[in-house]
Amino acid sequence: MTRAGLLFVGVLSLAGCPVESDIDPMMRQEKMKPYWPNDFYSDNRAMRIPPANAVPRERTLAALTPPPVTAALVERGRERFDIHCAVCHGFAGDGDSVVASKMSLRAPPSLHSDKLRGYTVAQLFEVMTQGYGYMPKYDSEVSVADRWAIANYAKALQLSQRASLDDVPADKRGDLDKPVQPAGEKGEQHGGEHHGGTSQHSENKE
Amino acid sequence: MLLLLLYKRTPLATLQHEPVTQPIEFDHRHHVADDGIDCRYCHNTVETSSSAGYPATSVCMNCHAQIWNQSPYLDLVRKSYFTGQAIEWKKVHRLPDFVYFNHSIHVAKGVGCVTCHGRVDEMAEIHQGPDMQMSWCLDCHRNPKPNIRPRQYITAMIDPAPGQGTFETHFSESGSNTSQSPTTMNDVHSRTSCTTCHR
Repeated sequence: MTRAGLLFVGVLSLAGCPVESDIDPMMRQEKMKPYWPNDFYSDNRAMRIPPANAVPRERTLAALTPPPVTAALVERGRERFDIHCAVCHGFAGDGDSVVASKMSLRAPPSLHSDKLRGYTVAQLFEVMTQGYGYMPKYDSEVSVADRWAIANYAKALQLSQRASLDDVPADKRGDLDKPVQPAGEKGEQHGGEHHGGTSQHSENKE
Repeated sequence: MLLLLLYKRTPLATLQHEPVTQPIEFDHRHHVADDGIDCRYCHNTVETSSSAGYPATSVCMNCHAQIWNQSPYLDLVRKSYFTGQAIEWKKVHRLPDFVYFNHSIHVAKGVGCVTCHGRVDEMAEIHQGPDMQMSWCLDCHRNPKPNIRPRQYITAMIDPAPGQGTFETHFSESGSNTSQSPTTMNDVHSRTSCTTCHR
């Protein structure tokens, strides 16, 4: 057989091969990486499940006490709220979201009811940690530090939704009558939330 | 030999654009575009770990305990939830085992999800967007600027079309202050040492 013929047969036989059996022997190695299957364990997972009652290292007593409220903490809370909470509770925390509209048993409540406005930061933290009613717990998805941040942002959100003119610093009141700048793009409502965040921050400091 | 080298670079061998059928008919279009769920709700270790993370079945059940909770499409999800047996999702982007890719550093430096994964919000079945050859990695590692965005837009599916500019040009041209450039803000540098990716 000519050299070209051999090559042709070689290429043909390769064409049927999945990438897994690559010609490079280092391509696929006998080791474990996250989420890989592994025959060594009976459940075929390379990643192991912690033993029952194991406590994550991040869950120290210091981590479980409410951290001091800073602008950075509330800002982090906003980011995490928008990822993990807004899906159901809505970006404004009013329970208005696409997902919520499809919930048949019980739609997530608005955070702006009198009952929930009475919740302390620690109570909100506990709801996220243990779940409440139909709301599942979020302790494995959201870290302890982020749960504190979200709880503080939720309080800011509550303030923002019932803010009155008196809550706006006297020297900023003139800005409220100005039309929204087109460059802002996010619209009036989002800007309002932001003011809520900052006013809450200053309140807690005082 | 030349033929072989060429074959290795065709989509036939790189599996580029090849939709991967998963054990469950999961549709990213619905979850991302219709429901507006942030990527990080499910892939919640993308900022802290080498792996973006497949969501635990309990994350599916956060919503699907109430939504579509009778649907036969989700039989496998409920089975996994109640038995603890993992759903065997198929890997779509698989690098050679001698490549140590880390999601968290790419996200921290401002490489958006869409930059590598494409318009996931438009994919019924996820497929691999880039060819994932080493030259593709190096193109960006040599000159990261065009692919860097501000961190708050990390999961945004906006893909600046050719001619419309990148985040980098947008921020450095619109603002007179060049410190606004995402490359500067995220402290991004070219990384081409072999040991950056190979150990």
